[in-house]
Amino acid sequence: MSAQSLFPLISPLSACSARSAKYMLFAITVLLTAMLAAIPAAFSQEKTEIDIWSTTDTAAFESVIRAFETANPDIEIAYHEITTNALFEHVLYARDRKDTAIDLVISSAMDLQVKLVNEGLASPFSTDRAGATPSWAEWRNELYGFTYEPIVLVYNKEAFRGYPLPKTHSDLADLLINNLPTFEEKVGTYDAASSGAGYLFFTQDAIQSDKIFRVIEALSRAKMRTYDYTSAILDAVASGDLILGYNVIGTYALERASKDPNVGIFQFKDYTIVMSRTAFIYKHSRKKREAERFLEFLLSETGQEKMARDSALIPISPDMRRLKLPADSTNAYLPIKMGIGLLTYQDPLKRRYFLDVWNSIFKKPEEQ
Amino acid sequence: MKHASKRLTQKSMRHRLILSMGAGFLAILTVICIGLWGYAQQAANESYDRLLHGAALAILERANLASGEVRVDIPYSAFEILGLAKEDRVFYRIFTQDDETITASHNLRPKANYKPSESPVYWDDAFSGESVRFMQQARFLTGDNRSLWVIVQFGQTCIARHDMIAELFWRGFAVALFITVVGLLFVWIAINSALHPLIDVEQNLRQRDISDFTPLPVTPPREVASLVLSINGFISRLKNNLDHSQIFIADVTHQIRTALSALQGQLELASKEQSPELLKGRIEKAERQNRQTIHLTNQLLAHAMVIHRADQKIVSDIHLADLLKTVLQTLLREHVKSDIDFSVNIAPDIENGGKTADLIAGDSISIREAISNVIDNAIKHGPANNRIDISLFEHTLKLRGRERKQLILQVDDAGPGIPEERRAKVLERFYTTGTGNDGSGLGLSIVDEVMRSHKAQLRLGHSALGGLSVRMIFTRKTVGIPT
Repeated sequence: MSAQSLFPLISPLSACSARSAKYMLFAITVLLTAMLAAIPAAFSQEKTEIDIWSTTDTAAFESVIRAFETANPDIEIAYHEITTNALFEHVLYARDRKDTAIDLVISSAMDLQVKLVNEGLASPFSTDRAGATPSWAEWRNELYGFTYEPIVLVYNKEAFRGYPLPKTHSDLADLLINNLPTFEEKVGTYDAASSGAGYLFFTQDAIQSDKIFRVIEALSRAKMRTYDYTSAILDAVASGDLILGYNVIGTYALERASKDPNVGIFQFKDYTIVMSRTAFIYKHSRKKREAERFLEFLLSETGQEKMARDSALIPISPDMRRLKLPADSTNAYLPIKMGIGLLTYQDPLKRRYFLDVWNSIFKKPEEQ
Repeated sequence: MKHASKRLTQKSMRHRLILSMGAGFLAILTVICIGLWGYAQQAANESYDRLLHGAALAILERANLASGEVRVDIPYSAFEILGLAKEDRVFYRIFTQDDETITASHNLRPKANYKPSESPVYWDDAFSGESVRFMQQARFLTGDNRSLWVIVQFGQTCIARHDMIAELFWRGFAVALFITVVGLLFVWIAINSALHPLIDVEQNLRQRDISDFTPLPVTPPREVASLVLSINGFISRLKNNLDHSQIFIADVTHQIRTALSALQGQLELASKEQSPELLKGRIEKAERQNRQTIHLTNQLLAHAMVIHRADQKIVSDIHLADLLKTVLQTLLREHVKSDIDFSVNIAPDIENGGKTADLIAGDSISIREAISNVIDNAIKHGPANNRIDISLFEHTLKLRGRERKQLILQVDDAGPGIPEERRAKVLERFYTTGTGNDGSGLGLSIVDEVMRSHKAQLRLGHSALGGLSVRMIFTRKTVGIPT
């Protein structure tokens, strides 16, 4: 496997398009051979390779994985990046085929993760850091959240100039309706039908506030456009194709905002949903011990600090996340609570109702 | 106090009491535990069944019939309620009375023979590799042209239930255990205070001088008081016995000293005697005195031996008839030249009665001593032409409906006999009738001792021959022979 030192290889998924390949189990395998690869370590010891299937951008996770590999030279990580819905189906598919080439599953779609764990597909794992993980970010000692990522509003600073920043969701609805000609087809978000994370954020909106219907109405009248990937929304906002990006994962938005002076981010003051990336060890994994070591690392102080300093991810540890959260942090953060409650919108019938409504409002014309 | 440090091998009453109380408490604890387990299980099931019930109600409330189609909009609260059992997985299926699935997380098997009803039914089953509590509840939906039952089925893993059972059980168990320990502590204290008077008695006895025969103080608890009274009774009997022994030793000393003094006197007289005829008479007297002293000594030794053997409880099977014959052979050999007319009569049913007909349990040496003493006694105290009848026969005694076989050895003589009022006296040591001059005063006393140690009876009576009749009544030993 040393021959396939493909690192660094940027996943083309983040470069949007590829909609047709939505449910295909395509995953770009990136073998992150540690920097040690340069050292003749080939004969020093046998390396164990663990397969991590994740929805997190490879670029965002790379430094954390490298740090882990440096600290654990006996483990090599094969990192497979995939979309949320595809990951969910891949795990179920692997279960049915008794495939064991999955060791750790990481996703930002917490509801899909809870559903997989509820299927009994996770292996229990008790960490020394259990106390450090808040109870809302841990379920059954199987599913652990390791990031703290607010869901934010992204805006194009140039195009947005002159408009007051909305403080609340209602303000946003008022803003859109009052300025429909400006915002028409200039607001974008994830496609809840294809993006598990997008579906989660909208359903959480529905649970958190009944004002969301006014927002949806406003978004509907503004002819909101839908995207499959965060980077696509950010690209569109940066280029001016969009003025506003609604419900965007704060991690990527902050990263982009720090590099692109044209991109601004904003957090609502009435409530801001916080998502946590969650990981569980696959029940039929053959390398549970190594996978546990990686998960332990993610939750450890070292791992959290590495995340805070060298990656785009915002760690869950209260001390570390302060370093990364935007300056205008509100105390209206509403973390999504892990647990059986998240199964509500994963009910097939409920999901169908929701998506029927969604599609009737936001479906792109060319696919109708 | 060397005794105190020596460990006793006997079981301690304290240990035995605490062990038996401990066993009792353990039995009670076991019963409590079984009850507690059942209670905890019931309580946990009732608590968490309510979650299932509540969630089912929340879902059914949101079920309706719209243009003939069943719509169910699962409320967030339903799963939030189930989420109160934080670690548990949940499975569900919502279906119609015709088993047509409306929506489901899993293809659950409904309860067999289910009749739709608004009251919930619960059952346990295994699902997805875990033990799962299932619940099913229905609601009747009425529409314009169609009415039907909609059924919600939930399955929930039992982690929270098991946690609650464990918690309830262990808490209850801790209380029960505490009560047990306190109870045992009280038992221990009670035992110690109950045993305290006994320890007092022990210390009193241990520190007592061997010559101290004063009674122990009788202290309150009735049970101990009766023990103390018994010990006091024993002490007084021991004192009596010791007194008797002292008297016996004094008697023996006196007897032997007297006999030896008499012998000494005869010998002194003989040494001063000049005339050969008179000297001969003196020497004869001295010789008679000597023989008497020897006899006395022998009898004293025999008496001591008999008592010693009685103490030793030497017991074997004895054929009384055979023993009698042996004794007679020896005696007859000694008295073959005398004019005494012996007659021996062994009853035919004993003579021909087989091996066990004359069987008794006892010490053959003592009994032989007793028989020869009785016959000796008859010879000594009777005239030269005495007649002595010895007979052995069986007698059946009826006692409380049961038959007891006795063997009776009877010796009659034609001697002077013993007047009735003196018969008890002659059984005492060193008591002689005074008629013969060579009686040691121990003969019948030895017989009495042997009879008593064998639990046999000695009867003195008037003989048909004119003299004394001695009856020795033994109990026949029964070996595998039905009586």
